[in-house]
Amino acid sequence: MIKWKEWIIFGAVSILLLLVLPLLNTLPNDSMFWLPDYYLNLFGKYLSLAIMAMGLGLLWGYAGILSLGQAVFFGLGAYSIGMHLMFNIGAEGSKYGDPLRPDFMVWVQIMELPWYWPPYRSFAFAVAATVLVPMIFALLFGYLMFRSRIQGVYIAIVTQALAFAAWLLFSRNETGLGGTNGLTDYKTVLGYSLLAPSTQRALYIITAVCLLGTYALLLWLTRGKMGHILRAIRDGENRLRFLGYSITGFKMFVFALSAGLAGLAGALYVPQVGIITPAQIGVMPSLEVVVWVAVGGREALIGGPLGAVLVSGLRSYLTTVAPVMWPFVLGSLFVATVLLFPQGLVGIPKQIERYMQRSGSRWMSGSRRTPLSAAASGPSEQPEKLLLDGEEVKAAEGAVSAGAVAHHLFGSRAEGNGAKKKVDGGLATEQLDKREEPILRVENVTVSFEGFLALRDLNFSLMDGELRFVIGPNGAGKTTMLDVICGKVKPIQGKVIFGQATNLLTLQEHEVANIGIGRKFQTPTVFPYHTVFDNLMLSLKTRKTVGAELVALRARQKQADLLEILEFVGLGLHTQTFAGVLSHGQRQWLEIAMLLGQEPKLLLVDEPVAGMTGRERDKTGVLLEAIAREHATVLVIEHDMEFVRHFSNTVTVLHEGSLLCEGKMQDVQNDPRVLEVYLGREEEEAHA
Amino acid sequence: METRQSVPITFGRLSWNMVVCLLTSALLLGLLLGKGIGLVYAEGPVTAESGRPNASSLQGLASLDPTIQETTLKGLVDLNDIAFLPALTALNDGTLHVWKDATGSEKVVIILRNIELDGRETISFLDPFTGVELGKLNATDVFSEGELEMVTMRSGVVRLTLREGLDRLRLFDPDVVVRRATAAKLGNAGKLSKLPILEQALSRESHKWVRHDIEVAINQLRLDDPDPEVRRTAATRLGEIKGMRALSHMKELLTEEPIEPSDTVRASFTEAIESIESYQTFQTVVGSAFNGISLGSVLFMMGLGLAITYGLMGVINMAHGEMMMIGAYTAFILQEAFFYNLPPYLHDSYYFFALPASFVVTGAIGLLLERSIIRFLYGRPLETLLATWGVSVFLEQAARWYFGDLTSVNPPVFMRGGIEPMVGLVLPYSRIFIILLAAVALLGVYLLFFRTRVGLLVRAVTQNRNMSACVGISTRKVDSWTFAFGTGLAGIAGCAISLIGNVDPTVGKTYIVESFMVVVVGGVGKPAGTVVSALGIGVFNKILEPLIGGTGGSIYAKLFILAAVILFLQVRPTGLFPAKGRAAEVGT
Repeated sequence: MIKWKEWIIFGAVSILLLLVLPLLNTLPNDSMFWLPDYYLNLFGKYLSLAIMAMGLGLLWGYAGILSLGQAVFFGLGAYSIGMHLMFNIGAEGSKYGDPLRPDFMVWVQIMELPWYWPPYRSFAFAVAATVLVPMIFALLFGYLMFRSRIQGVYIAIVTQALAFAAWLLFSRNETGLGGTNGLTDYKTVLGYSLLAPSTQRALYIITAVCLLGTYALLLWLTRGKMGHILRAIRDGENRLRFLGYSITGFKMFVFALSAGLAGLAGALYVPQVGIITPAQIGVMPSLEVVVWVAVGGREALIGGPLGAVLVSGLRSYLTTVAPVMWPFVLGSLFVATVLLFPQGLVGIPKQIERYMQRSGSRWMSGSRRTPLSAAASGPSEQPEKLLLDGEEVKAAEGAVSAGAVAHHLFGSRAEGNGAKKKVDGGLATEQLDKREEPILRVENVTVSFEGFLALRDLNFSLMDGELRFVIGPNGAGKTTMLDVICGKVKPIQGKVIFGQATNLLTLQEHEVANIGIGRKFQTPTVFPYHTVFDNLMLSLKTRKTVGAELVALRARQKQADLLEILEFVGLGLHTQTFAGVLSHGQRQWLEIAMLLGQEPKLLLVDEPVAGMTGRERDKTGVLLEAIAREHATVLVIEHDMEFVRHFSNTVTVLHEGSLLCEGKMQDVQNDPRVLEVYLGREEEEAHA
Repeated sequence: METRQSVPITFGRLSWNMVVCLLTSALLLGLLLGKGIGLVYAEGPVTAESGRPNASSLQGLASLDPTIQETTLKGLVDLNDIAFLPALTALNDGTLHVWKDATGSEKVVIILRNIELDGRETISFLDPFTGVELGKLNATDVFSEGELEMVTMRSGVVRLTLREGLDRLRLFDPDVVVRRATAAKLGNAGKLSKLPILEQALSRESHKWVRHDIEVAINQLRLDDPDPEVRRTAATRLGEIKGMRALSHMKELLTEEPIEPSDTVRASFTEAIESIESYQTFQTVVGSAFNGISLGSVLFMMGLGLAITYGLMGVINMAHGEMMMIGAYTAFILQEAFFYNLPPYLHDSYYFFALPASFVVTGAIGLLLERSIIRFLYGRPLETLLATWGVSVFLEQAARWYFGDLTSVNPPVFMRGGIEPMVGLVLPYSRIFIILLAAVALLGVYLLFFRTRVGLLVRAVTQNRNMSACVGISTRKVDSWTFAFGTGLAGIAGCAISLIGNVDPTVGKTYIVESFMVVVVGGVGKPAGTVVSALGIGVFNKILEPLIGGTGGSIYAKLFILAAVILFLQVRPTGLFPAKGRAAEVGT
């Protein structure tokens, strides 16, 4: 998928970094092209920092998680290799000549080598630890953070607190890591002197290889489905969760990946620089990583490394020329980047292009918030074309019948049912012929919002294959009921049984989605910076775990199926359009299409025809009926009485959190209780 | 697309419960403090007996003959008159001089060297009895205008007599601090011979804590009394009055030679030690809790501004700590301005101006920040975070560049010292003031947000920005002014901390992480949440410090708090009082 142009650039940069610079360094000292050891070493240091920046670029730019604690992971990697290098000094190299303990321990009177030191004698262990220790720690910390759904700014604050805590801890002498002086005075690595220019050159080449390898790896990762998933997490975490993805898992994965890269960066940094101290792992250095990525741009993976090299270079220059100025420059750089170049250096060409296009409008105000310029706050591709509202309805209409699509999708699902039994753990789908089995039972459910009872002792059941409508005045608890079923709201009492025995209340949202319950939200929720096709692709029924997505990264999607669904909902011509530019009605359709892609057994549809024209409404009706006919159960919440009246199905009326009555529409319409709830209110209001 | 979590500000249904809770805990704390020990003394002035001193009585002191000096000194000491205290102290310090002016008349004076504002060195001549300034000369002119000679102690006997005499006289010094220090010194010296003078002092003393200290000293000495009954009574009394100073001596008598021979006396020692030690623990807890509340008050003032702006705009201001720093520097600048431009008696009044000034100055800077940067970043909270962090780096460096690394604000005289509600526990006025200030800030915020139309507007915009704009509220204005208000609160916090520590460019950084924790734990939009989380974090922090102990106590306490916050978020991801139900959905 990588274009040939990119290959050429990648190749050229590789040759420059791996061949040209080291070769220039080996020239005789009096040659005018000679690259002094000092500069090669400095550049190697920048490249190691670039690896960390690329990791943060992935985390922040793609998944939208801004970590202000990257330097902690850098530090874990750096200290890992640092501890090994301390062992390499040996008794003869050290000042106190202690055979067991490094000098600083003698100095601060740590009598015994702490338990975590000895394994680092082994070079292999130390190298593995540089990546694994940060990753394991990130997994643990990430689990705690993402499990409790800490998001956005809170993540930033909590990771900053982590950086602060790590700095405090590493600065203490009793933690056995050299206190504020850190670990330094290294002599050799694997028997080679660290002071020798040839060793430094080798380290430089290793660093460059690691950087290029990281780039290739991340490029491969982000160009596949994982890239889509990460950006979907950034843009609409909730929607993705209800499509069956374990958001916690994916976030932990990307967090740990970026932590591992930071650790690798630390490991490459230490032997080149010769020292690691707590000053490099605190709040300030963590934020500097963020500056690199912000300056370079997080729209593309290359942004972070670019920023790292440029800003670090600037820093090295300024701290020698005018040390007082550096914080001023750093602060201004931050403000200026965020205000003027929100997409960083890599985004500047695009920004200029957009500026040229919009010659009439003012620059500053224009850079704010046109629908898709906001897409610029992360990686995305430009839409191929923008379409006018309404045009699309005609486009694909009638081409494929609702029944055909539904049969195709759900029929095939029914056929393949035998095979799926094991996966589904013996759920209701086995009982396809027993249509009288309830697929969903809501028993005595009560939901309380700070004392307000949204649902009171609600009892409700749904037969397999049924198309059921739920109506009720505002505040009757309709949406809350859906929230309970799909795990978003936990009731204070009651049971929700899906199929024969699955208690939904014990499951998390994505687990509920994965056992076959699809949810359409009241306001259409799609991923605005993904194309229509990619939206659908994300919803497609697969094993939606990190491992499975990594393995199946290159698997061919059921493209034909997807196109068919899109054809049906009238989005056939818009497969490459960004969902963000779709009209309200089109988004409703897209979301319904996404539900179909999910192949659920039970569809929870919240006000599907709100904001639709008559014709669109009719088509929705046909589709819902078709889905129900082909054995997927459908639960529709609706306000539009006219719409509901078209169906001969059972209607459930909710009122003040309880079930009021149930029956055919005609019967329900004439029920005195219903009349009172709906009409009585109006009379009261009229009197008042 | 960034989803913005905006949560309505409500004081919460718990509000009055909270107020009642706080009042009750304040009351309980008061009771704890009041418990102290059961000693009640009447207060009253210290007086000394004896006739009026006269200048001639000092002439002998200045004599070159050691014998005359000795005799005079003994006479003076035996007079037991505190009127001679300044002169004797001066003799001890080497500031007592004989001044012979051009006319040849001799006078005994105390001299004081000063550095004037313009850098001149001057010498003041003070009356040896009253301390009144008799005259002042440039240091360079002294020897052209007369002769100045230091009065020295001529013999070892003089030195000894003077030291003993001073110890005795200082028990009657007008300054409470001196009397208490002297009592402590005499008690620790362990000389039974000092008993009579201590008893005499006790009979004349009326200040509660001086009496306490003298009594501790007396009983401490009596621990070495030959009579076992006296020793036993002394130990019991020490246990009663919580004589912490005698603790080590009692322990010595139990473990080191010569060990206390009598069993009953030893038992009473043990009892007293236990009593004192359990009291010490109690006192540490109360003291830590008080310090915690004071820290919590600062955190509250910081966190409240953060929480309000976060609730309103979804913006976390990383430069909030630097706003605090600006508040502190405002206090510093005013102090300097008053010091150099106004007469001394007005110097301390700077603080009354510093409070409103720091609010206004930081508020104005906040307004500028909002109008020039944050305004352009709405809907992009992470970018705002970064931009404000850039501002914070800039401001910190600017402060370092302009003010240097360390500047100290002198608390006004009336803020020095403190109240001592129980033995060994001093609650500084400055910290009490900070707590009160936070309470006033809370009240102010409550009234502003829940009792005024402005507050109504702010809450409306917080809950539903678009709807508010539709009904004609200028959300931009509301944002600007609320932001300014929030930063103003940080300014007040800065002015407050200038009372209890040095002001340096990193002062904001030391509080900011904890302030963020306050917001995370307290949740946004509810002042009650901020109050509880700020006090909780403050008190926990300070109580953990002595519990963990050692040099790293405060650092491990911080680490512990950070870990606790992460764990707390597992249970309550949206803070202490989360919005539930429909309200929680707004804006997501």
